[in-house]
Amino acid sequence: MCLYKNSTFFALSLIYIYAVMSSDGANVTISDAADKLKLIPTLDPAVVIDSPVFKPGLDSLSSLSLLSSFPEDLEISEYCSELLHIFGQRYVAYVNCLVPAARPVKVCLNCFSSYSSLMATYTNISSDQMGPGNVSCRDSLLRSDRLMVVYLLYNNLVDLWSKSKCQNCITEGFQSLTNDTLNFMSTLNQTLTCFEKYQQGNHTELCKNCKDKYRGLNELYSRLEKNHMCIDIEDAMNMTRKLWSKKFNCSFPREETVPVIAVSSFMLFLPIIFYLSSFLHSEQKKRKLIHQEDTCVGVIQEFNEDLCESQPEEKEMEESKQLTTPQRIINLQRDLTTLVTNIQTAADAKESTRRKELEEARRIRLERLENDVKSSQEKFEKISRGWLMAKQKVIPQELQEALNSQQQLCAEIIDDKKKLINDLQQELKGEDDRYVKDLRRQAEELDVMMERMEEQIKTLTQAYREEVALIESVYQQEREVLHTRHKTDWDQYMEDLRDKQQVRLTEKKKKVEEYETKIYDLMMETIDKFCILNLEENAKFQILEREHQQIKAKNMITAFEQMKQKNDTEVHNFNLSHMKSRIVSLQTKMKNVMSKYTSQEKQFKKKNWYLSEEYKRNIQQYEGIQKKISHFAVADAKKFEEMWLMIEAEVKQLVEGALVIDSLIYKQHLGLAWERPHMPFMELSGPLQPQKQAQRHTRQAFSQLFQSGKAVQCSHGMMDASVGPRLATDAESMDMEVCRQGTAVESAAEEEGKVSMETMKKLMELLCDESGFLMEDKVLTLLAPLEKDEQTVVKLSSLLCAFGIDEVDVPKLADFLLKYKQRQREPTEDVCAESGESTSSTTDLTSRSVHPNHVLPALKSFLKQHMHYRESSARQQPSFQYVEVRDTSEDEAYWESMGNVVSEDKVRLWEALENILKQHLSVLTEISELIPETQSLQQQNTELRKLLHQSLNSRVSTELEIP
Amino acid sequence: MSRSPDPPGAQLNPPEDCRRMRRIIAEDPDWCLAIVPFLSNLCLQSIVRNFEEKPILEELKLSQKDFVQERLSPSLPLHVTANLISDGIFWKRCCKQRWDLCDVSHYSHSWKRMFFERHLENIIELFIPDVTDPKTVVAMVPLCKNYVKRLVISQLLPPIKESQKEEDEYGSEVASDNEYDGPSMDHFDFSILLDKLICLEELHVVYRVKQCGMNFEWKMFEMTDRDCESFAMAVKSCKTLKLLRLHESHIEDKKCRLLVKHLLDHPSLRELDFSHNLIGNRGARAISKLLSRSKLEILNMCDNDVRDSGAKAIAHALSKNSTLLSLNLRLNRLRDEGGQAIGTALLNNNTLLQLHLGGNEVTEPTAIALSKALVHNNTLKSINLSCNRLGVDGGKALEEAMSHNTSITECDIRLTEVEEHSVSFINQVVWTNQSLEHKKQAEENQTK
Repeated sequence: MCLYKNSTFFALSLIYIYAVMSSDGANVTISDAADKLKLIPTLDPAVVIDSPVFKPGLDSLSSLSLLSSFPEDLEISEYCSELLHIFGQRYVAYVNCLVPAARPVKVCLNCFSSYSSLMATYTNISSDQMGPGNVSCRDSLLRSDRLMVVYLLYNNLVDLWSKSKCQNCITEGFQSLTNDTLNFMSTLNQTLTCFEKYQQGNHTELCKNCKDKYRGLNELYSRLEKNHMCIDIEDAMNMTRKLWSKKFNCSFPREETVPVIAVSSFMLFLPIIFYLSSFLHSEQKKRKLIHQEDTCVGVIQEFNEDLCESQPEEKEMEESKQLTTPQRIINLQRDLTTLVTNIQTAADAKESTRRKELEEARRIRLERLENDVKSSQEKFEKISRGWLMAKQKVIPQELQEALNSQQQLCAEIIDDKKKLINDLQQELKGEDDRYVKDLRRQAEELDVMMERMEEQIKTLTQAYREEVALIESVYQQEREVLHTRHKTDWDQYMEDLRDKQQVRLTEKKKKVEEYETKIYDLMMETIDKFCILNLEENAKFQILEREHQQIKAKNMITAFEQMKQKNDTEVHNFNLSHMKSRIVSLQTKMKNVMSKYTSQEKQFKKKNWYLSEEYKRNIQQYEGIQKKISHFAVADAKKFEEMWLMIEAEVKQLVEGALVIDSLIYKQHLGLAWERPHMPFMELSGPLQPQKQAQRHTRQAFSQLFQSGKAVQCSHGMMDASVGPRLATDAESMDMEVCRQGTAVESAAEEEGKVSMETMKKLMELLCDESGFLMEDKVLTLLAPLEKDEQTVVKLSSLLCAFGIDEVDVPKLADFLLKYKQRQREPTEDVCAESGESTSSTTDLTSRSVHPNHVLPALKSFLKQHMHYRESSARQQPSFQYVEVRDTSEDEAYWESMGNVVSEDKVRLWEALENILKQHLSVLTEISELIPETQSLQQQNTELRKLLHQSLNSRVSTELEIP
Repeated sequence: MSRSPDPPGAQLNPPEDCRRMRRIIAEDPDWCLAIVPFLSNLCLQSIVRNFEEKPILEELKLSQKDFVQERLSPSLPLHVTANLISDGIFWKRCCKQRWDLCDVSHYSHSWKRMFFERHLENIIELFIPDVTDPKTVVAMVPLCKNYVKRLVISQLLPPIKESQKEEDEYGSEVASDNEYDGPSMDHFDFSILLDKLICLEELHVVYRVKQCGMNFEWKMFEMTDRDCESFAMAVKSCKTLKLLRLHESHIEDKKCRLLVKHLLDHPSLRELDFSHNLIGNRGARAISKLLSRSKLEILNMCDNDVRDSGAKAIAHALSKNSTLLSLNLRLNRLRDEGGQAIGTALLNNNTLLQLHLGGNEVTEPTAIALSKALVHNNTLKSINLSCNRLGVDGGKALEEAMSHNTSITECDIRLTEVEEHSVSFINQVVWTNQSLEHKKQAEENQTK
C-alpha cells in the first residue's frame, strides 16, 4: 500500500516536474506555472497514474499553457529563479534515481548523493540569508501561494527519506555509507556469490556449503537490526531469507525459537508441575507422618503400597474381564479401610507400648522408691541411733557435734527426698509434656484419619460411580444388543408373519374363490336340475293341458261344426234368394243397356259419315285458300316493290333536301366548304333482292320437305300416342296424302327420319328419364300403372308442353342433342380420326354415348337456341310462307344509312348551330326589341335637343347666363 | 416492627402487610386480586393464631392439617403440641429452628423423635444438680416418653459452683483432698427418669464435661459411687433398654461390679459397652458373670485394664455362653495366658462371630492357640490380632490354620511382626472367604 502511495506520489511529482520544466523552457514565471499546475491536481490522480496516454495530453496542456503564458513577472528575482531551476534539476535527478531503485529497494544506497544535493539546494532556498540583490527566495518560492509546490515536493521526498530510514545507513553529512552497511553489503555479496556458485547443483549442497555464510549474515543482520537499519538492508535481508528458505528450502531451526519453545512449554507445564509437586508433597507429608508414628507402619505402608501396586494389575485384569466380580470395589474398600484403620492400630500399638513403658517406669519408680525407702530407713535408723548416741553425749561440744551430724544426716535424707521429689516432678513434667505431645499427635492422627476417611469416601464414591457407570454402560450395551437382537427378531417375525399372513390370505382368497365357484356350480347344478324338473313338469303339464285343450277344441269344433252347418244352411238359403232376385233385375238392366247401345251405334255411324263429309269439304276449302294465298302473295310482292320504290324516291328526295339544307348551313352559316357525302344507296333503286329466283326454289323445296317431315313426325307421334285405331287410320290416310304431296324429297327425308327414328326413341326415353322432375306428380301417379312406352309418350308430351316446343321441333332437339354430344366430345377426341367416320358412326355413337348427365345442359342450350329460332322463324313466317325471304337486317341498314345521311356529328353540329342560332335569334330579338326603344330614345333625344336649343336660344337663358 | 399481638399472622398475609406498609396500592406491582385469601385460609390462619388457646387439629382435613402445621410457630409450648401434633413438617421446622445439623436418618426418619430426644438430651446435659429443678426433667417425661428411644448424653455437669465454693473453702484447709467425696459431686440422677421412659432402647452416657477449658479437673470426668449406684438402679428399672454404653467414665472394678450386679438378669439388654474405662480383673470377673447370666450379644471392653486372670474368667464364660456374638477386648492386658485361655474357649464356642484382641501383648503361644481354635471353629468371622507381637512362628501357625478355615472373612494381623508371605497368604484366604461369603449372600438374596 505504502509503495503504491509512493508510486502515486512519484507519478504526480513527475508530472509536476514536467510541467515545471515546460514552463521553464517557455520562460514562464514560476507563479504562472503554479497557477497552471493548479489544473493538474483537479484531475483524478488515479487516472493520471493509470493512463500512460496522459503524458501527451499533458504535453498538449503544457503547450496550451505555453500559449496562454503571462508576460514575465517581476516579483521573482533572477537569483531565485536560478535557484528554482537548480532545485528542479536536482529534484528530477533524485527522482530519476529513485524510481529504478524502487525494486529491489536501493533507495538509500544509490540515491543518497542526489538527495544530499537536493537538500543543499533546498536549504539554500529556505535559508533566511539574503542573496544578491537583497532578495529572500524563501518567501517568494515557498510561501507565496496556497499550494506551495516546492515545499510540498520537497516534503514528500523528505518523508520518503525518513520512512526508508536512510539516515541509519548513511553517515552524517551524506558523505558515504556507514561501516555497518558496508560490512553487511560485503557479507551479503559473499552470501549471494555463494548462492550463485552452488545454485546449479543440488540445493542440499548449497545449504550445506553456504550455511556458515548465511548464518554469519543472519547474525550480522540481527546485530544490526537493533538500531533500525535502512530499508535497503531490510529488503536485501528479506530477499536473501526468502531465497534461502523458499527457493532453496534450507531453513535451519533458529536457536532463538528453542528457548522460546522451552519456556513456553515450561509455562504450559507449570500448573501440572504445581499440582504434581503439591500432590507429591502431601504424599511425602503423609508418609512422614506415618514414619514418625512407627517404623512398623512404614513396613505396612510399603506392604500396602506393594498391594496397591499389585492392585492396578488386578484392576486391569478385572477391567479386561469386564466386571466378573465387584472385586475392585471390595479391594478398594479393604485397602482404604486398612489405610484408615492403620492409624488406629498404630495408635493402639503406641498406646500399648506406652502402657508398657508406663508400667516399666512405674516399676522402676517403685523400685527406686523402695530403694529410697530402704536407704532412708537406714539413714533414719542411723539418725535414731545417732539420737541415742547423742543422748549419751554429755559434752555440749560433742552433743553439738552429734547434733550437727544428725542435722547433716537429716539434711541428707531431706536432700535425698528432695532429689527424689525433684526427679519425680521432673518425670511428671516429662510425662505432662509427653501427654501434651501425645494429645497433639493424636489430634494430628485424628486429622489424618479424618482426611483419609474423606479420601476413602471420595475414592469409594468415585469407584462406585465408575462401577455404576460401567454397569450402566454394560447394561446399556447389553440392553442395546438385546434390543437390537429382539428388534431384528421382531422384525423378522413380523415379516414372517406378514408373509405367512399374505400367503394365507392368498390361499384363503383362492379357497374362497374355489368355494365360490363350487357353490356357484352347485347352485347352477341345482338350478339346472330344478329347471329341468320344472321344465319336465311344465312339459308334462303342458302336454296334459294340450290334451285337455285338444279335447276341448274337439268338442268346440264339433259344436262349431254343428253350429256352422246350421248357419250355412240358413245363409245359403238367404243368399240364394237374394241372388236370384238380383239376377232377375240385372237381366232387365242388360236388356235396357243393349237397346240403348244399339240406338247409339246407329247415331254414331250417322255422325261419322257426316263428319267425313265435312272433312272432305274442309280440305277442298283449304286448297282453295292456298291458291288464294299464293295469289295474294304475288300481289303483295308487287305492291311491296311499288311501295318500296315510292318510299325510296321520297326518302331520296328528303335526303337531297337534307343535304341541301346541310350544304346551306355549311355554306351560309358556317362558311365552310360543303362536301357531298358518299352515298351508295342513292344509286340503288328498288328492294334489296340479290338472289331472288334461286332462293325461291330451294326454299319452296325445303318448305315442302319440312312439311312432309312434320307430317311424318306428326303421324309418328300420333301412332305413338295411339289414341285410337280410328284416329290412327285417319292419320294414316292423312299421312298418305301428305306423302303424296312431298314427292321426291320425301324418300330422302323418310330415310333420314327413319335413321333417326330409333335413336329418337331412345333419346326421348332418356329425356323423359332425365327431365322427369319437370313433370307434375299427378301425371306421374296417373301414369304409373301404364306401360313404359305409354309412360314415355305421355311424359314426352307433357314435357314438350312444358318446354314450349312443338312436336315439330322434336327431331331438331334430337339432332341438337346428338350434335351436342359430338361437340362435347370433339375437343377430347382426335379431330382427324373423327372426320371421315363421323357420319357413319353417329347413330351408334349417339345412341350409346348420349350420356344422361349431358342431357340437361344440352336441353337447356337447345331451349335457348330454340327460343331464338322461334323468334326469328316467327318473324320470317309470313315471308317464308308466300314471299321470298327478305333480309330485314340489310333493309334496316339500308334504311338506316338512308336515315343517317345526316351524321350524328352533323346533327350535333346542327344542334349546336341551332343553339347558337337560337341565341343569335334571341339576341336579335332583343335587339329588335331594343330598336324601338332606341328609336324612341332617339326621338326623345331629338326632342330634348330641340328643347335645349330652344332654351338656349331664349333670353332667359342669356340673362341667366350673365349673372 | 413490633407486631407482637399477632405474630403468626405476620408471615401469613402478605397483601395485608403490603397494604399496611404502603398506602398506595397502585405502586405495588405484585398486588392482584387473586392474592385475596380464601375464607377457609383465613379460618385456618386464625386457628394457627389461636392454637395455643384452642388447639384444633384433629378435626381438620389432611391438607388443612398440613397448612396449619406449616404455619404453627415452633415456639409453641410443648405441652400443647407434644401429644397433639404428629410427626411431620411442624417438628421438622422445630428441629431446623433449634439445630443446624439435623440428620433425621439417625432417628429413623422421625422428626418428632429427633426433636424430643435431642430436647431431652439437652435438658439432661444442661442439668446442674442442686441448681436445676429435677421437676423440669420430670415434667418432660409425660410429653416425650412415647417418642424417646435413644438418649445420647454426651456430658453430665457436676454441681460446679457449690463444689468450687466448697473446694475453695476446703482447699484452704485441706489441699487437694482426694478422699473427700462430698455429696455435692453427684451428677444427674437417672433413676428419676429412666423408669418412666417406656420406649427407651439405647442409652449412651458419658460422665464428663465438654469444653471445660481451664477449669479442668479430674473429677469432672468421673462418676461417683453414688452416681454409679443410682445409674445402676435406673438402668435396672428401665426394662426396655437394649443398649447401654457407659464409656470414658472412669469406671473401676468396684463400680463395674456394682453396675453388673444390677444388670444381672436384665430382660432386654443386648449390648454393653464399657470401653475406655478402668475395669480390671475383678470387673472382668463380674462381667464374665454377667455374660453367663444375661443375653448379651455384644460386649465391648476395649481400652480397659483386664489382665490374664480377668481374661481367663471371660474365656470361661465365653466357653459356656451361647449368645455373645461380638467380643471386643482391644487394648487390654491379656497377655499370653489370657489369649491362650480365650483361644481354648473358642474351641467350645459356636456363636462368637467377632473377636478383637488387638493391643493385648499376646505373642506366639496365643497365636498357636488361636490357630488351633481357628482350625476347628467355623463360626468366627472376624478376628483382630493387630498390635501384638505374634512373630514369624505365630504368623506361620496362623497361616497354617487359615489354610483350613473357610469362615474367617476378616483377619487383622497388622503390626504383628508376621512375615509378609504369610500375611499375603492369610489375606488371600480371607479374600476367598469373603468372596464365598458374598456368593452365599447373593444366593440367599436370590432365593429370597
